[in-house]
Amino acid sequence: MSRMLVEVRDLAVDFPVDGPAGGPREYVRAVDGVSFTLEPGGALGIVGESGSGKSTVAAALLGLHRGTGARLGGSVRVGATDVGAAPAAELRALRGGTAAMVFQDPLSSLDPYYAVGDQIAEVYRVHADVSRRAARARAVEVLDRVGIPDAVRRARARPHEFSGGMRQRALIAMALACEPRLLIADEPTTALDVTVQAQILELLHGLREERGLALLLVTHDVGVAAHSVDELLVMRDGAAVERGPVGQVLTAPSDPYTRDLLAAVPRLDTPRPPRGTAPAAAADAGVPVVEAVSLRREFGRGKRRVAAVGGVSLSVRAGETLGIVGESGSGKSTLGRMLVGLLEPGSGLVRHDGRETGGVVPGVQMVFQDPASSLNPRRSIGESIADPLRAAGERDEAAIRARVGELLVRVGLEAGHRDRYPHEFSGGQRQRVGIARALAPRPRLIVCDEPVSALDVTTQAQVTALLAELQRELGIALVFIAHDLAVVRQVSDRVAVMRGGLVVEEGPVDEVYDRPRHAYTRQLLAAVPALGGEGGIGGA
Amino acid sequence: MDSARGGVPLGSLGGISADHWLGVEPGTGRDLFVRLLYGARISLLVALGATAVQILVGVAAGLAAALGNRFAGQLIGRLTDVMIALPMLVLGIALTAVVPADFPRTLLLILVIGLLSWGGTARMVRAQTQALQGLDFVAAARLSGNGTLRIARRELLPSLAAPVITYAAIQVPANIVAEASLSFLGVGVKPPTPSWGQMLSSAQTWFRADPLYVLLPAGLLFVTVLASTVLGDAVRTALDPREGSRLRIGTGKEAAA
Amino acid sequence: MTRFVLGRIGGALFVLLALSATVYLLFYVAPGDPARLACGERCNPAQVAQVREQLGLNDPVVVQYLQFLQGLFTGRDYSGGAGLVLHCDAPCLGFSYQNDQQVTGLLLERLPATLSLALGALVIWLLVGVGTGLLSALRRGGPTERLLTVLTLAGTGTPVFILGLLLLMAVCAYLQWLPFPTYVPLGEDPEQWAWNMLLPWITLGVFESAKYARLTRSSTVETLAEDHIRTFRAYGVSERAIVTRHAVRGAVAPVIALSAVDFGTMIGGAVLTESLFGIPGLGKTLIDGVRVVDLPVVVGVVLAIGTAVVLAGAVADLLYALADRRVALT
Repeated sequence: MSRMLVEVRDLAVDFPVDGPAGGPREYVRAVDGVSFTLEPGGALGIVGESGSGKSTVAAALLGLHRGTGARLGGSVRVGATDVGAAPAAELRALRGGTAAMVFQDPLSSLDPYYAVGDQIAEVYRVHADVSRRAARARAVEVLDRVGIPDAVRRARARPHEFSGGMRQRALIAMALACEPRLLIADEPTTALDVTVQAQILELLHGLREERGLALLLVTHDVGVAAHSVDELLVMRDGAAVERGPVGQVLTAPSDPYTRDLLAAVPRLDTPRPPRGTAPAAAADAGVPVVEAVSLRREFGRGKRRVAAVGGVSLSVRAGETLGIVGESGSGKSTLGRMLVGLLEPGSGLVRHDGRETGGVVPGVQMVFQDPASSLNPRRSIGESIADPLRAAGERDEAAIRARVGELLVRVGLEAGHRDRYPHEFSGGQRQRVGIARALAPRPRLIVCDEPVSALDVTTQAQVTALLAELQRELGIALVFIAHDLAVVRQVSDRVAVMRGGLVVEEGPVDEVYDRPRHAYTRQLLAAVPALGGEGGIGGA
Repeated sequence: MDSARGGVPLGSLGGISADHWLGVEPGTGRDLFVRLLYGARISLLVALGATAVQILVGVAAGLAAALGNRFAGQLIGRLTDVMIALPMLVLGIALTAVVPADFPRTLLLILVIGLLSWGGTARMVRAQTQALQGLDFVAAARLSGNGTLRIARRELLPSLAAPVITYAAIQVPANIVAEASLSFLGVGVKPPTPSWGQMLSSAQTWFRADPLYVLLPAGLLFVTVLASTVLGDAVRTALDPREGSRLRIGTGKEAAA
Repeated sequence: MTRFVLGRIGGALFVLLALSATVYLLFYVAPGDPARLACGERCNPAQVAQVREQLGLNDPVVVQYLQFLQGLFTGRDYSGGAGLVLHCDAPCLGFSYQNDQQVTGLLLERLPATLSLALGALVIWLLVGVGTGLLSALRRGGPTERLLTVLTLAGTGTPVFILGLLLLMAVCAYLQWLPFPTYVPLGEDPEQWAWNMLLPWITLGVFESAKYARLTRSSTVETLAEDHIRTFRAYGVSERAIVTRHAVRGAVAPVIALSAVDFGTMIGGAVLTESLFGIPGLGKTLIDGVRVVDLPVVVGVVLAIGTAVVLAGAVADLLYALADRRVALT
């Protein structure tokens, strides 16, 4: 027996899919021949884009595929347990006892009906033969360790009374309860804001140091992995394409896919790509394309009334990109919807080309976050793109057809795609269709609300580049709303930082990023995990 | 017919013979097989008619509640809640008391059942419409300069088709039962017009002497309700968006995929 | 929470008001001539006119409705002709055309029978229905579940009177295990009461059970598909503990809420069962009233049933909010 804590050899996982009725069951391969080892106390990061099979590998370590109809090949050993062959009782002892898992979405990962402390106690009693009272005490102890303030009282609260970051801490507490030797974290910070993410990563790092825990971190975010692990395994389409020490993989990747992946990651520490002709000439001339004056909007009633946007003024000129960054709940999307007229401001006003407007106006378009819900699934994409033209009164079918074809080509698709339906396209392609639709009526202003946050990092880079290019070429005014500071830096001329419904800082991109004046901006920038490989909180 | 015993059919099993395949009706001597067939016609006609009425009224009310201004929305929403809260059977029974006796009973049943049970449809349509309105593709259509009616016709109605059809399919068995219940209580169709519920009502007094008279309409009613329940479930499964791979509704391009 | 409760009570009052207005208009104003019905077949036109005056039917509709409402809250006096005054006590629903009894009193007289039926059925569906649902959730994928699924599917669609008729035929007519039920009040002879209610209880309880079995099973299975169940699996909690402790919890709130609604409906709505077994409850009163077009009785029963249903709906919402704390807090 080797001294390794985890040994995975030639792991293959096949999921059943609905085949033709009556025919033999068909399978798709999710993981194909992955091998790796992890020593006690070591930390391995598995990175890859969606569909790369990284979460499936994590689940296989605990034998979670048992009973789901999935087929497993190869061998998985964790501690002394052969996961593939172990009897049910041994597998249960492994789960939580030897290896504990932390899931992505902390809200749905806890039972909404029971107190957080009771849930931790329940899990603890599965693995330790102790009284109810002792288990509760243990729950309070671990909650306290992960930094839940007033743990005795908070242990009696239910998950919905916790914030997102607190819930993730509670899940980590549950993982700690049974003193496992391995922590498996599946996208532990993906649902969290960047400042909270930094705290959780810090906590994981501290726990490793303190208890000698081994860590298997599954993430799509190379930056997060770079900070927290010693070794990286890069996955693509179910297979491992590269594996090595963090520093080596990040600085001298040997596989072409790893190189593409790293190149696509938006960074704060590299020079910005050139932004084409300086917008100064256009910016000085004429009235702003859009101008907001003391915009305010509240939601809810009575005591629960909160101002989503609490008085924001800004303006964007032709040919200019304004980036708006902020964490969830900062009011950036509400602001965006008021700028295009989809949402009526509570007070304040919006001017388009100098005229005060209410409601939807021509010449203003939007690109939405979720490419799945922003296109009508029952309409061909050609029809969706033609919709603004028809609504504007265009009746010449040949002209519409020509314009749709031209737009499709312009956003990197083919004119022949016009008769296809949204479900036939990938997320990135759908977002391109969304951009084509926004361009169709030759708008003066496009507001993009988190246009790339639902996309994988390589697709994200392509779509971001496309938007920047189109904006330069057509001279439109662009408002780019995102939570990702690095993405905003790539495309924007000016940037506004929002927090709690207010703009705390606004200025040219280089100034705000290099010399932030507001404490919150500094905090945000410090929380972004850098890719550098050296000098990070958990690096080297 | 044995008039000495109060009209019990002669012969075994309720008087089955070559002339009367399933025997005759006690008391009147009408052919049971024929009455069962005509009964099926009334039961299904009322059930389908009532479903049509309730779906039409429900969709109109639901759309109006979701798309109208705040006042209209509130008013229709309240009305919908009232319609859902009230027990349909009780009101239906009470209503039949005040309607003139010469009003056609079949039409009356269709109207009573249909007009008293549109609340569920309206609530579902309103909720679905409101959910759809929150989707980005509707926002995109608004930004393109489309008006409310155009959005309702082009973006909302096609997406509402699947849930409405599903709901209608599930309502059919419920309406068959509603008709049978009203007729069983003697406030539905009146003899000599047959319906299964009404036949069961008259059969109550005969079940010791002529059990087939009870068992036949009961069995047919049971099988019909069960069959339409299973059909409703099947329709729901087929139109369920989560089961999209089985049947893609409205895209018309499956072959190309 | 207070706001939620107040809002719900306000909504219930609104529904009741709307109901009373609708029912009043439909029954007293729309078709036919209440005065003729009240007076009876052999009245001459002069007598009818007198009755019309006594009942206030010559007043404008709104005045009539307001008087009706006033009668509900404070009681009302009818002039019985020749200086006679008939007083009708506080929740006044008028007098029956048939026997001149106060409708309110008549309803109170009939309520115990209905309550007996509804309570027994409630016990049965909570035991049989929820039990069946749980069993089929625990035995997912096995032959037990398949059998239970078929049974509940068959039960969901079957009209309650078919079940009752078949039971009557089998148990009373052929096997002769029980005599044909006749209602005996609980106060008179508890043992006879229970024996005679047995068949109605089973009929209504088993009929309702199918719905509860489906609800319990689907809520439990739905919860089993949620993310937090995966968490407990990943921590080695056994499947049985997951189902009985975590998955079932998701079925509690819907079952309680639906039970409250159904119980309310049944207080007035078990028309079919009452009619089939000849139980003199509210439902039977309604049917009898409809047969002879006794409008005050029909209006009274409908309002009483409406009240029960609306109150039950409000109670159901409150219970749901208490059982599922997420609702009231979000």
